[in-house]
Amino acid sequence: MLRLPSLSPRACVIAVCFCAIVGSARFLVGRCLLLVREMPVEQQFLAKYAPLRDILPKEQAAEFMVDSEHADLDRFDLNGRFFLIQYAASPRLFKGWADFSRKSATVAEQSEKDANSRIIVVDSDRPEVVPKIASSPKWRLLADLQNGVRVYSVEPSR
Amino acid sequence: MNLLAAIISLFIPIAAVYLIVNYCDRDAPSEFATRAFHLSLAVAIALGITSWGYFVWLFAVGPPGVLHHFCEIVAFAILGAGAWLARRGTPRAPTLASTPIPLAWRNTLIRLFVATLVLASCGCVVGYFDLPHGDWDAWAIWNQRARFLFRSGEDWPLAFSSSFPRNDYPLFVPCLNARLWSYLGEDACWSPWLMAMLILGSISGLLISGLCRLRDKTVGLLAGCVLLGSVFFLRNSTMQYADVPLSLFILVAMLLLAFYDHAKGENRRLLILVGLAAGLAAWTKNEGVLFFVSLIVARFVVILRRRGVRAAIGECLEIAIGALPILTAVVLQKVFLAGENDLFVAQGEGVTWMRLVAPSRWLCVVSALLTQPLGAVHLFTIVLPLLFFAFGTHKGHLRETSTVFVMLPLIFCGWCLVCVTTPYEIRWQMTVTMRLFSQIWPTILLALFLALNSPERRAQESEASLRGMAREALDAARGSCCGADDGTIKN
Repeated sequence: MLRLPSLSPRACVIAVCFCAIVGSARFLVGRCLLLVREMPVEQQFLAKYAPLRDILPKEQAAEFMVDSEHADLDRFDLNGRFFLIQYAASPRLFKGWADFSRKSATVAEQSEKDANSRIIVVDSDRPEVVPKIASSPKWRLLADLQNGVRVYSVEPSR
Repeated sequence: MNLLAAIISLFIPIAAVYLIVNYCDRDAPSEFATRAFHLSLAVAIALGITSWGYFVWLFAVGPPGVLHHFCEIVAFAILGAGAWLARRGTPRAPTLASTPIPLAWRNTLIRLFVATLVLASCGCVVGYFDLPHGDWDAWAIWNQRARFLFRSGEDWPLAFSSSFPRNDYPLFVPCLNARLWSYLGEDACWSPWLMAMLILGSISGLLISGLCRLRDKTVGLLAGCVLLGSVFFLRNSTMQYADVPLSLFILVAMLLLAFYDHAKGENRRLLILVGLAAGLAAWTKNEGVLFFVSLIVARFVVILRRRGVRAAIGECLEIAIGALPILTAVVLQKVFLAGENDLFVAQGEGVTWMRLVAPSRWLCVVSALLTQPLGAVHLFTIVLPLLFFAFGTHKGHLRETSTVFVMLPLIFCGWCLVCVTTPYEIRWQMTVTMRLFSQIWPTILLALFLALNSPERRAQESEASLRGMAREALDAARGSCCGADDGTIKN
């Protein structure tokens, strides 16, 4: 019959505690290492979007567009930015998001056809670059947060 | 002033529930483990009920304000005072005489536990400065919905606007945070983190003190060490994910059920509390509904084998009665406020069947659900089996653990079904595996350490067996001496 080697209870208990201490120390060191980096990306975006709460109208849901040509998407993808802007500007509502650069033609065409006015928030990580579509006469700049975030209203077509 | 109101809003409900639990469990011996257990249980139940109460007020009356605060605090104060007065009239349970420490190394264990606790606590505090708003799900779902409930005023149904994905998710965390903000008067960033830490403290307290009461202090401290040394669990807690509160309510339900079985079903009030905790689990996450169903099925099967159909139906009914008020709120939210569930809406007879019969999907799901948790608890997968080799299993533990051991495979099957039929890319879907595992990790630890023979008992058994062997040897020696005197020959 197979006979298992007898294990010292004290050694087993100390082994469990040792693993626990290693685990909790790993957790602490991991958190400390994250803390010494620059401000977390989420917080940077939250600070960037927070003023929108006072700018956006209460009764109308805005649309969010990221200018991916001038956005550092490695830092945060479009989906993540949409949730962050919704969190930062709540209770102002956003309808959805789009890639401004890729869909600029579609957006411009649609804005010509749309019967209702729209509020569009454009985000570019390079504040000095003005989005091409903003040159359309139907787009009116409502606010420029000077950090790449601009709020436009798009007039309805008559 | 607002900070004082927030402190009162936490203190009064917790104190009231503590007094009620203390009254209901008045036969328990008066010792530190009992008080710690009552306090941890009070934190869990008070947070759950206040979150539920916030939603009921919001739904029935409107945005909670001063009137809600007044009614809530007065109601808890009256209940607490009633329990305190009733407790005064009952004889005190005897204080256990301090038992001598049978193991010389128990002090070493206590020191190592304290070291683990300090390191984990420091990590949680640093975690706040690292992620003050929590991680993705916290700001994309839970805290975002809390902000909408708090900031929108009369327009609070905006929190369920169709522009939000997953707006059918239950509301324990959003209502808990919005409630505290309503007392504070502002949506302070630290408040959701504080709630997450209270919940983590309650889980640790319940696991340790529960095992101290059901087994002994060594087993309780060992389980506490493993929980506080589980990096993935601590990380999920500081990320403010709802999986950790869900794990709290699952633990409460299973721990109370273990107490009920330990007392051989004498205290049937416990079943109502089990139902309440299971209902609160369904109020926390959709996976909580899966837990509730699995619990009912598992309990029915276990009691059916032990005591027949009538007893099984009776117990399941009592659990359901306990869950009823909370489940009513879940149904109200799902029917009147929530949109469609993203996992169900993309199902169709043909496409779901195709997903179900694809072996590659099953392989991917089952392998991820089995291997990722093992990778996360890495060192413990080696040392926990060693404990069982060293101490053996506790005789008769199946009375307390059988429901858990029947329920866990049911939950696992439920997860598998949901993951296999997911409309999302399956590899992305399986990235949530670790979060699913953290929902049941404290309960797994509870079941494992209930099944473990305690070191004290093991030492006593070894001592008894040594004594027995020595006695046998002595008897044999005496026998041979006597035999020699008698002149008989022994083989």
